[in-house]
Amino acid sequence: MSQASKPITPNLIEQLYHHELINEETRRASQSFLQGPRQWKLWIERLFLGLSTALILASIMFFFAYNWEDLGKWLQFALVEAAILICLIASLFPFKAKLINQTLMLAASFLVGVLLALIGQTYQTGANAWQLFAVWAVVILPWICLSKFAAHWALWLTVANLGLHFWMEQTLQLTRHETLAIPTAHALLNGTALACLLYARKIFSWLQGPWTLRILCLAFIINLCILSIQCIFHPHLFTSWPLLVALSTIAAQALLFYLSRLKWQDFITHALLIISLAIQLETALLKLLTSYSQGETATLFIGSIITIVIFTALISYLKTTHHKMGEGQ
Amino acid sequence: MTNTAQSTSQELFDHLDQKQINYNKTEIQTYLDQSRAHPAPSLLIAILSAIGVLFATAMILSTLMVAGILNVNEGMSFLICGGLSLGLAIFLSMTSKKSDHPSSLSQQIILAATAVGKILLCYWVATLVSFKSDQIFWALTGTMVLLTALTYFTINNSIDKFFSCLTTLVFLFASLVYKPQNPYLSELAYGPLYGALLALALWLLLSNTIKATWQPLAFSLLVFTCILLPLWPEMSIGLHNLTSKLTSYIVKLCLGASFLITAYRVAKDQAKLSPDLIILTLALTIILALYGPQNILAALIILILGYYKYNRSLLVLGILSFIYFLISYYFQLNITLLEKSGLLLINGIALLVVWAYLHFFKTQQGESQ
Repeated sequence: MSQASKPITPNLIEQLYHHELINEETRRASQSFLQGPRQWKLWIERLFLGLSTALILASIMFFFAYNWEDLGKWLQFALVEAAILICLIASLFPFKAKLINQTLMLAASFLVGVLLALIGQTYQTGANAWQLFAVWAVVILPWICLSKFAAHWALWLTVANLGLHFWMEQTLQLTRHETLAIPTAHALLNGTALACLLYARKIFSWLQGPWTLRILCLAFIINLCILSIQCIFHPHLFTSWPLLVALSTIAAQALLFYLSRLKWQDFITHALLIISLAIQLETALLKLLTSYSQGETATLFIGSIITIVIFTALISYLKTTHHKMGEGQ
Repeated sequence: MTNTAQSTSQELFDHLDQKQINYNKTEIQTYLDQSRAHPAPSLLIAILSAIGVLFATAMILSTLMVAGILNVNEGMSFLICGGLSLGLAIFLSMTSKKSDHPSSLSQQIILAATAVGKILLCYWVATLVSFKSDQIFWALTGTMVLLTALTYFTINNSIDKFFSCLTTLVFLFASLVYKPQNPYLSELAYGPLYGALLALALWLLLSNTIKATWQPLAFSLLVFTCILLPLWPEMSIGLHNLTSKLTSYIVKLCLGASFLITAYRVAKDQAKLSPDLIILTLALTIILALYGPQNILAALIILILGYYKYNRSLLVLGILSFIYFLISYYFQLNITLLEKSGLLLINGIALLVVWAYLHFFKTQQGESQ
């Protein structure tokens, strides 16, 4: 690719203007070429639609949380159910922008959660929190499959993660030594979701945006990081299956390193993984330091040097990688 | 033709030629080639650099304190760390080559060090006014951290400009929040001055004109002196200990002088500013500054500046912080859930109406034209 045909961004235009290499007229003409009014209008529309939906849904949630007794339980149920029905029926209307239909379906899915909470509040069913999330995840699954909306899947995955967490916490009654099971389960769930996403991206175009991959990777990396830190702080857990978990964590991180750096060439995902690795390394070194330290001053002094070295290495590695990835694209 | 962000420089040159706009193609091409050799730092790298400098200074200070070499309180430790970071930035900016590209490592360390310095100084100023209330402390620091992030990503390596704007804003926020309790600050009658100075600070933030010469350094020192002045004459960290009218006059004089110098320098290059957007931003900001919670205001400024600067990172930061502060504002409101619900519904419907107007009415208008 010749130099002149390489991509140019609005930020570069701002830099040129800052360095007085172009005048105001050129700047405006360039910016309107790169990011015209139509792009901005679209962006503002999406922002307003998202914010207004979030505010209205929050208001409905607050309204039912208030538990207004004068309203009567039948009217309360009728209101939520009517809202769900309106959202679902309206989502079938052929709007020009598909985003409207998808947002309506997302709102309906959220309202199902409100309805389930209302049932629990009115009838005092005595059900655990995990049951609410589990039923919620199951009920909304068909709409999610139909909506073809990545944000809708993100909602489902959040609900599923919450359901899993509460189920393990409330029913399994884990001992202190078994707490490793919770992050392991989350890592498994999010790792499976990531694997499914990687496969589905090849088929469905609506899943090909970079943020879907990044969010799932972030969830997976956080779980792996928690697992590693638990292994560092509780080395006595390194027997039988926890050892397997520790080894799998290392293998999963190595695989993510390979994928993000060489296969996807996605700097953000790669940087998130590297930050997580740096945190794990820092934790391990500080744990070692506190175990063998001779005094608080020495620990702090050596700790500061370790922190500076790790951060310097991290930043310098990321800068080099960013540069190389930029060249490769 | 409206294009995406992936347009090439050649396409842009063709577009400019077509519009018969004068520009120096060789100079631009040289700069673009240099930029490709030093790609602009990612948001993550910049944040990590700042965290690294922050950790390093904090840990060195902790070591000195534990070793008994230093014995200072929380506020003073913020001041020392902030001073060290800014000192490092100023030293590097004086020793680095003027021809260094903005994306070079030395320039980025300068940016990271100034950002950390500014955050810490803001924390320090916040401790000055929060000796009675933790809530005020956090409200202020939240805003300041956001504003510092904003300054960090918007402007290319200009220590003085943002340092001055930010510290002034800290003072203004602090004075506004603390005015009822603090006789010293109420004595300065900051209320009406607040809007005017905030407008000026924003004007500075929006401009691209201030260059790094000896003047900005002097200006930074002047503003820094203004912050240090409350320590005089009793060397006390608490503003409540100050009664001297002389200090008050000196602070006013320094702030006034520093803004006059900056205003003069900005005024020289007024043509480069975009008046309509600045007026709109200032009007919105002042209205919100007077009637709205400051955290939401800070997020909104970031959002508007992100739009103005065509900076996606700023936009994302602005949206996320706006949503977060909006939610926390409603959550902390001292009203019943039913009233909160009503308030949220009204706001949601208002936004929906604006969206519907933009989506349906404006689209139809566009089609009919």
